[in-house]
Amino acid sequence: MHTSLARRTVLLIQSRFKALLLTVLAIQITEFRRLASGDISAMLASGIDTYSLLCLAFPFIFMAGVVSGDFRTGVARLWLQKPVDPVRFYLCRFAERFLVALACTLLTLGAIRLGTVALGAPDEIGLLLGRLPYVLVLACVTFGFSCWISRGSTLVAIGFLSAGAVAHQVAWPGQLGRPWNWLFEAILVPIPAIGEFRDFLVGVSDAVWIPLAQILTYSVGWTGLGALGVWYTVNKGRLPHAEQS
Amino acid sequence: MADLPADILIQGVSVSYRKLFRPRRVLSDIDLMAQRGEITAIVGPNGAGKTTLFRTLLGFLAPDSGRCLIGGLPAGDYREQFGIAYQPESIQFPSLWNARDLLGRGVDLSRLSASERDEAYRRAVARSRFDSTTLSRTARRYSRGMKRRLSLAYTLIAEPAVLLLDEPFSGLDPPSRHVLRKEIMDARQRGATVVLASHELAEVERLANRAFILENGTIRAGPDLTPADAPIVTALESEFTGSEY
Repeated sequence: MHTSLARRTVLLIQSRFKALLLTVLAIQITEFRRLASGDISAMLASGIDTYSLLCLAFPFIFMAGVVSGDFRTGVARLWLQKPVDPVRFYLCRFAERFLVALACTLLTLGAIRLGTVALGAPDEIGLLLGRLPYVLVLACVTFGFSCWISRGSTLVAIGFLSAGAVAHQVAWPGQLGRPWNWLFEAILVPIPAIGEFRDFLVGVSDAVWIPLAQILTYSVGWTGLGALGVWYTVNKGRLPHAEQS
Repeated sequence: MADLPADILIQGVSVSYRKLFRPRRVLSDIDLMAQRGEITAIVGPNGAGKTTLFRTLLGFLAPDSGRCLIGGLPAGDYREQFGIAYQPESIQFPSLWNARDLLGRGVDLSRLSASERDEAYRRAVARSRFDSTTLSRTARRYSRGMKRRLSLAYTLIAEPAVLLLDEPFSGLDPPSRHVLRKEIMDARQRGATVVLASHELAEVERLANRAFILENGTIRAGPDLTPADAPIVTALESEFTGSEY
């Protein structure tokens, strides 16, 4: 391998460095009061909230423009002129970026856990691990939108997550009759299933397989939708005019 | 590459772009053939449809009617199986990538055996004619001519059997033009099918075995220009040079 996975990861992190820095700064500004309070429990809560927000931010940061960036700028022509299957090529890139987002999340998790142990506070590992499905789900959703929308796909994905969060908060899908409630629950980000999975990890629920299956099915569905988007864009002549962008 | 069937056959191809559901015909009923071991030139003014023809040949644009075959396969299938060397008129590189990264990635994607990879990489670096400092600089900061050299080195990795060059001489200094001419002639001698689109009639006359004149999306003359085509060529020459002949 001449341009190894490690080198590509370094280039990816370099290209996202500003976004990462700004995100961490923005979160720290909102958490400043709790961090500066000197109260250990407030500081721990702040650490866990910071981690939770980063679990949402990392997939957006690393998946932004994963496919649409190439299509919009014309860089796709560089890769796709080589003997590669476009769907496989972009699925591999998705997997690489997902692993980077996951690694960053796990590093943050490790740092928070070390802080918790050092301060002698109770271990919150179940709560922390319970946030990990967000990384998978949001990475898949962002990939799916990126394959179909050439501009602003990450903003659309953020809007989609927000809409899902609001809809679940007001229990809107539950108020609809069948089959609409099923349809909307299938489309919206499965926040209740992620919550149930977290409850299992913290030991307040026994149900694990159904929420896990829901999370995985949802993620695979969005990845499949993205793969279909790549196939359609490349093979049906929908690659944007990069020269005019 | 030598045994690879790579004749290009375009039969009755018409292509439209759709903007807000309004189709705009860009290519009309194009018939064209380019054979192995020959250089075929497409000459025409701006907006004649040369780039659209290349995008169709790459399988990135689906024709409304007609067929586009390379080596007997639909163009997109051929590209996925064997690769097509394509140098677009406007060249974009991924942000922060340097020439080493790009050429390395080109080698990775070119389906070469492990023993061929190092040699292909070395040849690509030699083709770029960059020193080690330039090789490590971010490619997006290169001058236009340097980008063209890098792009050519990238496209010629693994020496594909089909070369599509869109305005390859634009922005090149005389030594680079000389190198490009040599590369094109070498490719022809290797048995590659070379199609180049250019404004530069002198270069076309020097290199091409056959030339087609494309105007307003239709073939006006070619492949073998006869004295009867002289008025078209003269009109083109005066349009390109801005003077009357």
